[in-house]
Amino acid sequence: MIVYLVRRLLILLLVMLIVTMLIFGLMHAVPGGPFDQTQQPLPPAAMANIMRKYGLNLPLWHQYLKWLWSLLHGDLGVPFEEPTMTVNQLIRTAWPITLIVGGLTIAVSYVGGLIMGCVAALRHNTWLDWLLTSAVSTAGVALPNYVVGFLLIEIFAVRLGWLPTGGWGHPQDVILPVIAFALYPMALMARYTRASTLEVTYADYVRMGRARGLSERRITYRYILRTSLIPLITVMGPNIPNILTGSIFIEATFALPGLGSYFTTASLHRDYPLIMALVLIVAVLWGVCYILSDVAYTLVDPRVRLEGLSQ
Amino acid sequence: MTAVSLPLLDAPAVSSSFWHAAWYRFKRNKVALVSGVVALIILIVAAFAPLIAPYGYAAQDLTHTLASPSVHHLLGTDQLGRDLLSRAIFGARTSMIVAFGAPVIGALIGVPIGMVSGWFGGLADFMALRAFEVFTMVPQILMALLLISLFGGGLINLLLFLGVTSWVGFGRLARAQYLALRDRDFVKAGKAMGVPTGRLIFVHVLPNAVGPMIVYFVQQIPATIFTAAGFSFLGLGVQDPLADWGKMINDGESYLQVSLLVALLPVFCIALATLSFSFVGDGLRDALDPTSR
Repeated sequence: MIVYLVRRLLILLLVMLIVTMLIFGLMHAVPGGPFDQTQQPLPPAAMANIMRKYGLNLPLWHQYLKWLWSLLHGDLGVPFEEPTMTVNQLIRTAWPITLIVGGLTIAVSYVGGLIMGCVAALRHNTWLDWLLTSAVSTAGVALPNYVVGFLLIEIFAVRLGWLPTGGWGHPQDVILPVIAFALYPMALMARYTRASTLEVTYADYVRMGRARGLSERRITYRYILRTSLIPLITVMGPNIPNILTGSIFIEATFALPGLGSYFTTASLHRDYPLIMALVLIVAVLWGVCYILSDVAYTLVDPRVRLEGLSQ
Repeated sequence: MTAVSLPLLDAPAVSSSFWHAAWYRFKRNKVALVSGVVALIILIVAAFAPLIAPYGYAAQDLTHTLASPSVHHLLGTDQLGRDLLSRAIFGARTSMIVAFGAPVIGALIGVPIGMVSGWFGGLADFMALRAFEVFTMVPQILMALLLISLFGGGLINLLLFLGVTSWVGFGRLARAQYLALRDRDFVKAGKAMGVPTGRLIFVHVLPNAVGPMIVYFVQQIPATIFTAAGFSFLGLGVQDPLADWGKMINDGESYLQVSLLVALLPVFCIALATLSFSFVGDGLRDALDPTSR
């Protein structure tokens, strides 16, 4: 297991190196720069000064190595747009907002989806099953989250006036974004839970258990649900980094000052240090979540063996 | 996922081909069939927008801004006096161009890569797998956002960037298909009989691999409608004066207090389009690949 993890982490590091190089190269390969102003062009001397200050006059490989070197020292640089702060500080203020919304979203959607999926499967082919699968889960998967968010704002904030339309600072600001954001993962979770539970419900060993007179409750909890929840790890694992890094659409709809909205402004202003930092966060989270979901899979399902770790 | 409902009756014995059987299964799925009709209507509206729309997408009637529905403007007008119904109709056009165009670009890049890596294996496969890994690390939406911010927005760029960033899924799928099919008996027989490799790949294996690719393609359509409209909603996608549903939400958002329709009409259009195309996708999946249920 240790060897496997180390190997996976090394590959992850290599991939990260390539990802950052690609993004770095891409950003600099396009003509123009963060300090191009069409309205009031800076005098060439001042421009040269700025370029020197941020090291933008150096050759590309040199800039990349410099960035990598300070990254290894835990320093992500200074954002061009807000020179009074460091990228580290900016992320420290922005990410918790995204994390709070994301964490609540995960909690709401996974628990809600699990319950909905199980109920639908155990009440298979009843009106409840139909309502949960057709109406709720399909709408959740198909409706864009910003459309849902928009409708929620229209109903609960504008018409009824119960909740704020957006922004950040009050506890109730969380409610609408979380609902809008959670709908998609919840629907996905419900779909997969229902499918995998149904598959087990008609398995031979469950019928066998019933034939031998086990109580319905025991069959449901110990035999059906335990097995049916296994495949969900691989399904839902990859969704976690997506949720924890925020959605640019949700954060724009609800005016949340989180990672997603910083990513939008940073890319629009070609704020290189900030873009690199955000890409790094997203990519690392993805990589780690992939590894974790593979490992978790083997822990709960003894039938699965990790690649290259056979007996 | 309508998974594991009643076991489907087998297709009637008369339908000889795979596609007949698939069509038979698709027809039995009423939700998919109705959605298919809706999707078809959206496509027809998009294709013939100039003939159907009562006004042009940029035609302004400045004496009637934010007007309520009337005989002249069936669904009212927006803040610049543009007919909402016409804009919604032309919006279907931009939406469908991106929704179909982007997956086509993605498939054109991804499928050949997946084919080569799945069929030949070895170094090609190793390279393709690393490329998949690198490109899944940065999610499609963020990558597209980065490209848009570097090269600018607009309809064509949106189409290109959403297309270029969607290749990984097609690549993985094609690789899995070719990997699974290359050791089948009919391929071995073909090899033994001396069928050239190119012919094997395209004429013998491709028809067997194309089903899941079609399903994936159709499933990409609602996802692309979502993303494209999202970028236009942020003001990064389709630009004025072109009409787009996402952009219409963005425009109408500020006038919600005055007129509900300006923002709710595009919301309804997006919902209708994504819902119908995703039901069609589900129906196709069940019809083309009955084992995946």
